[in-house]
Amino acid sequence: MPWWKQCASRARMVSTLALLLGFGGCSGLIGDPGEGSAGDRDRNASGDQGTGPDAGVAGADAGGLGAGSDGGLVPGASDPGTVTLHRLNRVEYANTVEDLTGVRPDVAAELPSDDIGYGFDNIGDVLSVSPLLTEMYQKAAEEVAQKILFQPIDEPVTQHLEAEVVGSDVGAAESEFWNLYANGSVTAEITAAADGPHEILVRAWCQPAAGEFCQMTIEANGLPVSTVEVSADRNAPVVFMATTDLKAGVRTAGAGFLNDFYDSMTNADRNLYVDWIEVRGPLGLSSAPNPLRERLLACDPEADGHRPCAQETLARFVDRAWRRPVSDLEIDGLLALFDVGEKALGDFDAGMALAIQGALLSPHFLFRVELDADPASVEPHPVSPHELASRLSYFLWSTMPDDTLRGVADDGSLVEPDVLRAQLLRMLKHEKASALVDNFASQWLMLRVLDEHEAEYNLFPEFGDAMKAAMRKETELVFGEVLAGTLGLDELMTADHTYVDGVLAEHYGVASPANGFASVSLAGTGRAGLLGHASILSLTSYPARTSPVRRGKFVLEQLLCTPPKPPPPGVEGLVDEDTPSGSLRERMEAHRKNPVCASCHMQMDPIGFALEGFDPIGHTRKTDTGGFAIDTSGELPDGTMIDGASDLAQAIRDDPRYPRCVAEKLFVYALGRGPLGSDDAYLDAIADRLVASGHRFEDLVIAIVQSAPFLQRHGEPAVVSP
Amino acid sequence: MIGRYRMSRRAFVGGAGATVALPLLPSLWPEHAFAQAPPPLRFLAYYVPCGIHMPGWTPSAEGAGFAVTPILQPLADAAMLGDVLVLSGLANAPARPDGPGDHASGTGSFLTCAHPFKTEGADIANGISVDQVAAAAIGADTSFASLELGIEGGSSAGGCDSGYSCAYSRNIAWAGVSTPLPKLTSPSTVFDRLFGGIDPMASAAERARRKLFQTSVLDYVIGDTNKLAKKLGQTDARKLDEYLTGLREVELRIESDQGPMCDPGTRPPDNYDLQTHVGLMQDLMVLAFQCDATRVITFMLGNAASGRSYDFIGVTGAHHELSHHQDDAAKQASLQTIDTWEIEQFAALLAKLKAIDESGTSLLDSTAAFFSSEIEDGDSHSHYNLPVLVAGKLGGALRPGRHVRYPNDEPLANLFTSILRGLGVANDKFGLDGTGPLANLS
Repeated sequence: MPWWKQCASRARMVSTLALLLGFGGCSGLIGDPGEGSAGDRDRNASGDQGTGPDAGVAGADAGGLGAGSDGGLVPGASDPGTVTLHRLNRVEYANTVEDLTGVRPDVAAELPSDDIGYGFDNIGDVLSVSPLLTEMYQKAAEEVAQKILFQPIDEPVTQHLEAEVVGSDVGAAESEFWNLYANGSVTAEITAAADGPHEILVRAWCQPAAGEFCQMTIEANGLPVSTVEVSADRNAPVVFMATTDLKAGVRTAGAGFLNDFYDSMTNADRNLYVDWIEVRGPLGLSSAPNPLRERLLACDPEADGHRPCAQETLARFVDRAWRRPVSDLEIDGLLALFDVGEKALGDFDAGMALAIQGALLSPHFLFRVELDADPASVEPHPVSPHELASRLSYFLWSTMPDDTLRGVADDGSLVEPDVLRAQLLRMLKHEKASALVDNFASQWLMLRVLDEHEAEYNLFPEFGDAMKAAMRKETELVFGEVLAGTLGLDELMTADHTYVDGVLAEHYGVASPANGFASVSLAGTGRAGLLGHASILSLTSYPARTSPVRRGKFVLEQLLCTPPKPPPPGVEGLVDEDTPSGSLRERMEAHRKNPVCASCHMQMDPIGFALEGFDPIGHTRKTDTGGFAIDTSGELPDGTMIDGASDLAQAIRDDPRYPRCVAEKLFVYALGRGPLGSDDAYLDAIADRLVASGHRFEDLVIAIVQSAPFLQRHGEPAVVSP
Repeated sequence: MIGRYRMSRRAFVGGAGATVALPLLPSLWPEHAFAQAPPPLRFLAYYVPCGIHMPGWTPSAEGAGFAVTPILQPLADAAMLGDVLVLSGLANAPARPDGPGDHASGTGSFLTCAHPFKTEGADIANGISVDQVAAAAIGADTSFASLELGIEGGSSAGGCDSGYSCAYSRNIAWAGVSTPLPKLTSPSTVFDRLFGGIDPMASAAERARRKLFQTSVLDYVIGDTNKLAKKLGQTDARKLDEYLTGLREVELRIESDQGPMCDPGTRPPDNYDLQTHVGLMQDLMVLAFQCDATRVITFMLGNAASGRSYDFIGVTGAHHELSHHQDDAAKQASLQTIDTWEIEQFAALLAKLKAIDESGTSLLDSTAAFFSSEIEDGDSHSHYNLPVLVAGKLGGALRPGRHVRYPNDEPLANLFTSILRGLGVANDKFGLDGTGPLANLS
């Protein structure tokens, strides 16, 4: 085994067995090839454990819980492994907030992408929490609280302020007026109840001089909104109005005098007299109540009292938010937050906003918390019913449990195999199970890469966002059939039908559906199964040409789970760089004469050559981009002779590594952790069930959920720092 | 009819202007700023992927007044040549990967001069990057200790480079050996982050209340997190530790918030092509420095081994694929076109920094702007003789306008020691192979 692989396999076990057995593991900054032998010991040690003295205890535990569930007790398997505290990834976070509150925060779309481990973005070990992410969670919590709690204001608020009461540092009070006898402003502080247009009204009159009336500005927040001429006299003051947008909060409205005049010779004196200032707003109000707020509240805060209603509302909300029953003590902590807001503003909603933010920023919300009675014990134990419910719902739906699932967790019946199975089948049929397409299939089949994939514009001008979206949709729809059970995982490789819209129909040369996507037969097109999808064929190509190596690597890594070794130092990529002196295939064949390269390229290249009948964006073709004839024949490493995509698809379908690989990919996604050496026995058993069931996805899901790694966990031994 | 929010979340809703308006009025500058004291010193790191075509880069003459080369021509066109040091011969030996993976390893090591541990799993390990060493020392004076920016987001599936984690390919800022700092790529998100908490119309009482509310929530969450951590095993507790660090950082920022510091202008739009995208991000960098929102910025013009297409400047082929040029003249010409475009962007950024006057000196004069790539040349994948520019004067610590050639594979780490010292941060040796400060910079 090459040393870096040993290191990788060892690293996977660092959190559990390696620590248990006292091996440190490749943690230094510089990997040392010499450490490789320790990695082998780890692997052997973990394998040996199955027959060791502990195996009986762990196995009995597994069997006890899994009684009646076929996958629970597997001969030779003893360690269900454990999952690192799992932060909700960006999709799970947004889904959970939406299911909980009814609103999807805008900030969620801007969360930084989650790091990938083992091909997926839901791996507990890899999901870290950066300060930036924390900051965005805080912004999201504020946004959500505000959206849940906003209340429409039924009618505009009017605030009236007498100028002689408000006063100014310019002028003086004169009976019921403020006399601005020099240039300056009367400025009143008001509170805008909500964002929106407000009317500012000013009642004033003018003592003119030198043949001129008064110029007055109506001001908001110290800035002029409009300027008017005031010609009214003391006996008939006039009301002037201007409209401006104000943000909610404490603001100012004012009246300013611009053209003061005084002549001591003639005693001519121009003064502006302000009677009052009034602000009305906001205008254009809606009176429909906020349904999110209605949904949140368990009571009427005005009728039932602020604090009792806050307590009742929070008990209900947090119980759902944290996906488990919460204690009174925990609610008290949030009520203390409620008090801070409520006291500051005398407002129920202000308090509730803080409590909701606290609940949404709590680690009990942001993480999927699973507890061990003894965090330092490696003795496997069943996860709690509520923990199991979350495992199920994040696996199948990428979100929190719904009320039904929560119900069987609350009464504890979820751990009964029949109930578990019934829930599982229900959930798979639920529309939320499309999360498996969006989050599992899109990563397993690397469809997300397609979004960023580019083709050479001058060669393939049609390859734009619309075509990429159509390509992705095709594969998603076909995987949807796998999910629905109308297509077996074996048939995924060879299906003679697919889904196209107008764009793809033209691309594939089949009849275009009337509108949207429709199922079409691929008979006679030379295209079949997953590896005929333009999505896969494009994302494994370079912008200007195909890459048999990348296509081969895709099949080996994603479909057969036997990734080729990376090229040795100094030759990376060189095989891909040529000027077209012959067909790509001829050039690669020449390269393969180098024995250093041959061993891996023998595995990859025949797969890629079989797909050479498709160009870099998945068109069928007879000659390559250099104009040379295509040869799609080849010999797989096991000696099977194949010619073209159809032979290749059948060879993959019949390869026992394929069902085992799908099982491993879904297992990793389901648990949110990398595969451990100790998982092999479980995975073999799961793959066997998949094959025995006729390659049905549903049975694969059942086998995984009923396995000990899904149902159980354990702690990790405390490591004493030296 | 329009619904009204009773509790307003302030937002600058700008028009769809193509660029961020820079506040140029001195009256809008931070109050605590630069009337008497000298301007603060800043560090900016500018990363470009896939190496540089060195024959079109390296000046033949050393010293001042060297003849400009084709790739550096945009610096001359922008009259910025006198503000730039061209440094030849620097090497980042620790970046050499174990087996293949030069792009990921070179990028992970770009600012750490450490040796990224080869893994795709959870056990990533690198060094602390120079920007974060600086941020730890000088970051407390600003709202944001540092800003991490980029153009390409994370591809969300698949491993990144020959057994190396995407963490190495996508991040150049490392706050801890296993803590890469993710970057923001959306200009409007960056804008909201920098200026979104600021309501220029809020009264002091409102600001105080908002502060009280936010810190109360954070105090509660910190307490809650500490309680939970006690019930968990070590690995799980470490995850919560990361969260606690973030919570404390947010709390510190809120507590030190002094209210609006400058007028940020218009919120940038959400639709843009690559050229506009880069321009918007660069404007935000200038704005962040000018408003003293931060003094440390890292920027990735692309991710490691970026396969971006440059058809908009007439280049056929993906950048990474082209960079494996195998001495093909046409591919080298394409690379030179891409590299020249990259320098054009950098020159535009420098020109904007230089145009901003701070009590008699330019913003650029107080800055050290480091420009380089994860490798020397895309075909050789060498980590020696890296293409390096350092722009600005860093308050006098740098004497730009020269080409300096270093013999004997002088460690890049030594440049970082010099920059740290220029920033007033004590540093003896940086990274795995640093030996001390770099000579001949001032």
